[in-house]
Amino acid sequence: MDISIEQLREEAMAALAGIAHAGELQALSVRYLGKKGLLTQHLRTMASLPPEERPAFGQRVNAAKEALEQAISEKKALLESEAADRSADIDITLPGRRPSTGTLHPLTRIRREISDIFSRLGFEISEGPEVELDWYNFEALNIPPHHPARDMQDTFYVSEKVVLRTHTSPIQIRFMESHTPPIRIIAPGRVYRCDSDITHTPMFHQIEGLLVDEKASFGDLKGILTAFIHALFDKETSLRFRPSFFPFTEPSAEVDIRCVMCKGKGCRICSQTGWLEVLGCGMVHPVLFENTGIDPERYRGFAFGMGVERLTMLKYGIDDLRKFFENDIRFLEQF
Amino acid sequence: MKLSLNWLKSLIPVPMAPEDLAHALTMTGLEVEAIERPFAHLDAIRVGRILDIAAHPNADKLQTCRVDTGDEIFHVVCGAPNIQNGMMAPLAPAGVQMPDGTVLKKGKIRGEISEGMLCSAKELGLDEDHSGILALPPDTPPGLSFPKALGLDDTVLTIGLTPNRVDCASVMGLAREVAAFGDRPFEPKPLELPAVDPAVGKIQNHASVTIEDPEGCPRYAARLVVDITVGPSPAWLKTRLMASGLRPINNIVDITNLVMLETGQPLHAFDFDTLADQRIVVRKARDGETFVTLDEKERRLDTGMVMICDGEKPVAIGGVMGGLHSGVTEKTRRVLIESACFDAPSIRRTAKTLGLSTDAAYRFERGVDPQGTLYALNRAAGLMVEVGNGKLVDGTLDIHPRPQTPCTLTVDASFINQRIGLSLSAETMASLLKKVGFTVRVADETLTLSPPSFRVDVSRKEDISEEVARLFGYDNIPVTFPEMPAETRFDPPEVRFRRTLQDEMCGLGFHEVITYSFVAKDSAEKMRLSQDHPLRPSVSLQNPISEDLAVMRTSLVPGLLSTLARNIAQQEKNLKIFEIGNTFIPHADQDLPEEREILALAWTGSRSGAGWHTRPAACDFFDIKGSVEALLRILSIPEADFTPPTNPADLPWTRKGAAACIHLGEEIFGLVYEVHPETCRLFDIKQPVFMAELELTALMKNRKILHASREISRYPATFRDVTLILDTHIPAADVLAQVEKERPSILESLSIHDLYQGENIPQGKKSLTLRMIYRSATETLADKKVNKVQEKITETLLRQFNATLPA
Repeated sequence: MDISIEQLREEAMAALAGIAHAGELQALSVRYLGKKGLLTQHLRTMASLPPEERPAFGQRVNAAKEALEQAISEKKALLESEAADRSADIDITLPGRRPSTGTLHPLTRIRREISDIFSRLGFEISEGPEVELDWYNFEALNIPPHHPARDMQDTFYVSEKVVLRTHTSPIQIRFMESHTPPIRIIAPGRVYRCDSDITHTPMFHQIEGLLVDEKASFGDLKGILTAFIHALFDKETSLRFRPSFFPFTEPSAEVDIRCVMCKGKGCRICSQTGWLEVLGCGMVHPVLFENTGIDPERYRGFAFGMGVERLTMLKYGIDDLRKFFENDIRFLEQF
Repeated sequence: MKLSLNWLKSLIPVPMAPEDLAHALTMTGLEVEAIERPFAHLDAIRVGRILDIAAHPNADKLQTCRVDTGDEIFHVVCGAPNIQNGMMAPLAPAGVQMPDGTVLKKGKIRGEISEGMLCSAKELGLDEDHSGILALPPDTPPGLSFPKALGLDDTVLTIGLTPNRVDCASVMGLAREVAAFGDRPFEPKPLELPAVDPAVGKIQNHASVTIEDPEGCPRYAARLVVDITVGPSPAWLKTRLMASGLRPINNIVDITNLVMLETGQPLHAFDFDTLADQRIVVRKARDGETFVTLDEKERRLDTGMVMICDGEKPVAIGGVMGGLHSGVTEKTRRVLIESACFDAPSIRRTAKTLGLSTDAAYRFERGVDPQGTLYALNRAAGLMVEVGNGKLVDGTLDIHPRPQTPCTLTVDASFINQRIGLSLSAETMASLLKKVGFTVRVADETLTLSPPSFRVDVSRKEDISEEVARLFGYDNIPVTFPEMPAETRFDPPEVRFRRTLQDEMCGLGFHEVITYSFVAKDSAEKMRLSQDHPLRPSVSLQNPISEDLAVMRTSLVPGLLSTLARNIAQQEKNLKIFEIGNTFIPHADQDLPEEREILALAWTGSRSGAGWHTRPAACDFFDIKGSVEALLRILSIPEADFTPPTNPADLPWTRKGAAACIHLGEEIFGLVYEVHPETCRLFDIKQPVFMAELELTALMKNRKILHASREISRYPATFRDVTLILDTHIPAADVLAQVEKERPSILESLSIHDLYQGENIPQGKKSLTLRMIYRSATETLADKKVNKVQEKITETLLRQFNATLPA
């Protein structure tokens, strides 16, 4: 009997080494350690031993049992680990289950980008109604009835004194009416003109800006717009200011930037001129101050405006304005 | 404005290449939009000498000849009657494209070789003359390209004039600007009038002018030329007009146009013998009076219009267009030339009302130089005598009831320097301004100046600042930055809220769209709105682009459904889109409509991207509702309720029974629904569409920005399910509400775990399983305690809803 404890242990250990499956391991465990297992049976024979031999015998059986248990447990962990490695056998090249994701309209993206740049330059956003009184859209902006400047903007009329705003400039008037300088706002929004062809949609988006304080100058206007264009494109994009005319500014300017596509070499986008007209601007006409209760002798200001569609087309290389409002999902998904 | 450089060069020296001139003009505020050589398409036409004319052997009406271009001899078959040996004529060699687009081919005409074509003026696109080959002066060198030979070798700049610079709507005006690139102002050539014919007597003996409307017509001047021969203009005159984009008509009309283009002063020529009583009366039109303009259209007049009349009747609409019966014809022998000034706003209104945009109206409505009247009149008179072989009648009629007082402005140099950001001396500014015709005096760094009479746009000191900036060069103004105080400025809350919404909608898988704010008139029909539906009154446009874009939207639904339809037509059938935009609700007592900002979302097609792992499943009401619930949760608006509409007929574009109002307390701020199949059909959509509409202001108002965090329990949770068999019509929300009414403190959450109808459940009943999760903040819950609470809830539900437990 004494020998057989050690023999059983050796035998079990040897069998354990050859085991490759969890099932065999279980069988082995039962064979030696189960209720009727071979080692367990040995323990039961202890009762028949003289009392003085029992402790030593017990220790031997328990030592064998613990060693075997330990070995089985290690083997089990090994087998499980091996099995885990085998079971990870999936085709990881299959596509995953994607939650659906949406996109922002490209005009929203660029509108935000522009707003964020001006926000960092200390401007706040102001908004206003899209259906507007003639007074705010024209007269207060120094465009009296029957003025040729009205031809510059084909207007949708609702009634004799109500129009769809043709620009976001009425927001400037409304803001000046209700605030005292210093004023630094940008006014984004939908605007409408009665014009529809390959380069015009009857609705489009503008962002205008207005700064009023006691010291504003045309030089400052150049500074702000230069900072803006450098932030929107890059610091290599040069600007050119050309005299122009808007009834609400004096002096007025158009701003061209070096073509962002060809870097000024001349291409289809810039009609071979190397320049792109992107902004209109100027020093606020004193009539606007008179119309909004701001002292034109004390304050000066500048204003500027740009088309969001145009800048978005340049930023994303979009060639057709109408794509923005066709909302083809294959177009939208790209942004 | 088209500027012929040949014409400009006849007035001043232009020491610049066309491209450099164009750039300089652009940078001075006269944007050059195009540089063209208008006759470049005739470059391949060459001058040749006609030789060896012979009869065509096989055709009576044709002749053969040879044409010598100096370096080459061409055999040409020609049908024109006027060719002669030695004649110089334009030859189009084979291979050349003619102005009408045809390309000449070398070939045989009735058996005779023809290597080119001798051209008539009509074939060259110059005028209508097709009577014979265009004969060139005998001393024209052979081989020369045709445009060079005829002085057509011109470069023309197209200049986009801003409304304020009408003074540059003339060659002389542009000459003044070009002169300012140099050091000296432009001096117009002094006019030398031809000798008058004393035999005819003074003009005052023949004609008179009366102004009855001095407001509408502050100045009217006229001269008389007699014994005139009306006929085609000479080549030089035609060339000038064509280069400027005008079509030659006859010498008299052409001269009035030429002088207008040269000086900026529109003129009119009357056949003096058609004027009753030989007099001109300028008066206001009478309301309802009619008049036939020279385009043969009858015009209806009103009292705001200025009429030029003779002793009996109107003969022209002042400053806009002449009449049909008083114009110059081939029979005209005596011409009365009109050079006048008209009130700009009045002309503008007249031209708008009559829908007439003429070159004259363009100039008058912007303001014509009141001092340029006589110069233009005399220039035209001189040319008519010269070109039309007429005789000038002595004297001028010049009625000038309201002479303009010259405007004088005083401006400090510092005002200009501060406004522009410069540091120029008053003297420097003065020298800049003098170059463009200003009269300037300087004292103590203050400028006292009067603008030249043609600068009708300059009236304030700010205008002077622009003039100085422009002449100094915008690009030379130093770049500076405004002084700005350090302070925090926030965008309005609605702007920030909109941005959050857009981001969250993208996160929920929806694509943003932007549709037009105007919709088709029949959109209300497509939404099945009743005649008295509150969304039916809309803001309509007086001048819409089309019927499809005629009214301002009162709902975002038509825009989104049209967008879906357009995409579905492209086989893109699975769509999740949203738009944030205004709707426009008119109110009878207000000028402006109420602008309501709405978020609308639409879902159609499959629930999720189907693939190897997911069977395709169509989206349904609970997908769109779930999106709205998720959105409300993200926005911290958790307590919103969804209830069936009180009156489903109010929402005819929604499917009855599949629509819910979203509200907080009494306030309804949104809808979630399946679109009514009939509405879908009217928008050409053949698949179910689910939508939601939410009002932004209401959403924003109900948002809880700050919510204090709640303590979380350290003890384990336990759950109980209960399944009730109850009537199908009992809403799940009522069952949940019943539990909420007596909510036990240990009930952590309550949800609908399962819903079943069908086999094993009696007809008209449904099986609803609720799951309760219990947890205490202070102890591990004993089963007994939980069971007791759960039993009480179950009993209440069974009793309240007449429900049973499953068998």
